[in-house]
Amino acid sequence: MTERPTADPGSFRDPDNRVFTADRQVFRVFNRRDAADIERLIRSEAFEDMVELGMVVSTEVLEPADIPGSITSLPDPALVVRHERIPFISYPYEWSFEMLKDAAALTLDLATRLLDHDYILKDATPYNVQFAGARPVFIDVGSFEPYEEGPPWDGYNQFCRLFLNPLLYERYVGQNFQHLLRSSLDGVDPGELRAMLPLRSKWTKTVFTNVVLQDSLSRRFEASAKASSEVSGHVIKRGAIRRMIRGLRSSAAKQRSQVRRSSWSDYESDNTYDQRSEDAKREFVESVLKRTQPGVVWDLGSNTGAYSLIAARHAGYVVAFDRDPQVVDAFYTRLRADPGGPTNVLPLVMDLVNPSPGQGWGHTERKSLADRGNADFFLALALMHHMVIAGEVPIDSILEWLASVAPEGVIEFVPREDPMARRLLLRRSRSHGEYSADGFAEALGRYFTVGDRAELPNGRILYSVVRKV
Amino acid sequence: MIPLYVDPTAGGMLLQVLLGGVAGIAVVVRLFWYRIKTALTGRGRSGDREDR
Ligand SMILES: C[S@@+](CC[C@H](N)C(=O)[O-])C[C@H]1O[C@@H](n2cnc3c(N)ncnc32)[C@H](O)[C@@H]1O
Repeated sequence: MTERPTADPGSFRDPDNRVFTADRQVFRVFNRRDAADIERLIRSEAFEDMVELGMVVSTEVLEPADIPGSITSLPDPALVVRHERIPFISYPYEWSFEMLKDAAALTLDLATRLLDHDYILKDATPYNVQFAGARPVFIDVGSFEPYEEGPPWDGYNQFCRLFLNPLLYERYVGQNFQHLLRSSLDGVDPGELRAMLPLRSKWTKTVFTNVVLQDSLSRRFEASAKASSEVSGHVIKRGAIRRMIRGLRSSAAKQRSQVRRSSWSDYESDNTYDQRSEDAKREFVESVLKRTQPGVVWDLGSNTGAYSLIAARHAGYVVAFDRDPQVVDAFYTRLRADPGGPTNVLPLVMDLVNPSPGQGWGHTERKSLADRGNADFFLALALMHHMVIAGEVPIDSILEWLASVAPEGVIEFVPREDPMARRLLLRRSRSHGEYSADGFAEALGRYFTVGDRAELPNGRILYSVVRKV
Repeated sequence: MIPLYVDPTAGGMLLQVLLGGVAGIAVVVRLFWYRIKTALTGRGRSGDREDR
């Protein structure tokens, strides 16, 4: 217990409480005058219920004797709690549509519950939610504060910008929302969204109220001292806040993605795998995983997760990355719909050729993928040809990167004669002559030691590999 | 841009006032009326110039 605590750079904006990690544990330190209020809530039955229901990350108040020395030395720690550790941190621009919806529902359900107990959420941002497997959980206990009737809810505009507007964008503009949230950590301003929405959407109650009307009022009264003083003199009843939250809850829940299905959505049923090859691939992958029993597996280019599900049986935790939001959504929905299914698989949207960067203040507020730790094992199945041919990344660079992701894994090589590789080679000006089975095997040897190798009936080659150090 | 920790925005606040009931609607109507009035008289009471 001597390691110096590291302040989580994502929590620096809230002066009242901060997150530290020390000894691989997560602590939240409150040093404000109303630490007592938070402590009362955390020790209450209502809070216990929220944890029990899986809504809030499990949290224990530490007795002075249990607080690591490194944290007691911080200035004025009034209250220290320890949180359960979330296996892999993800951000809303890596979530699929239904994931964002579920995080929105959780946030508002929590806000309602808190109101029943004279507390309120002081903000409403998806960065307060994390996914443990396919289950959203609220992590920022520092957002809870005692409720006093009167003022408007501070979280409303933020909820619109970061939850509702991206959903409306995907519904009415018909494009994926992730790039909006990735480029703007503050989300989408109502005025910005208003300019993009088609006219027909503007007559819906949800859009008219939360986008059109909100934006009009902002434009007219943003700089008005008179408006501020009227608002602060006005009392909004608890019931009205509750009603508004209920309205937002149903507005978010009824949105459906209107992005056209992508070409990879039907990959699982519509691929070129004959049954024999597919069985052989499954068997190969499963036998390596069974033997290795890895802690964390990254399934790279997971599509709808067929191999993530196999990995989940033998690994501690599986993060499934695919750049296609539609297939990630399909996988997530399937995991959510199956109550008996694995709880240790997290599907995420990630273009591995352009992974999430470090963002926000000092490039550290939201971490890059590389800064969020590594895996113990990777699956790179039917992925290389995408990265080489469509992504134009040299084979050596990909292998070098894979070796940095995890010490071992399974790689599938798809030969250029394969129908799927041919499809990718169409309309490419470069012929990618270097992309051959021999060239690949040679490159592989520069970074990895090959264990098992299997050639499938359809000509594809599987390698189990261990990195050279 | 480094935003305030949370900027609830005028629109976000006023919309909630508006949805809050009859008294809230009156507040917003009054604000609009005040805007019209200051526009007509050229300038409101001193110190309210932002309301032009
Ligand atoms: C041929 S499928 C393979 C699916 C699964 N790994 C398997 O072996 O059955 C390739 C998947 O990789 C994804 N993909 C292609 N390029 C990617 C990239 N740069 N980053 C992340 N995923 C990518 C595609 O969206 C597609 O779902």
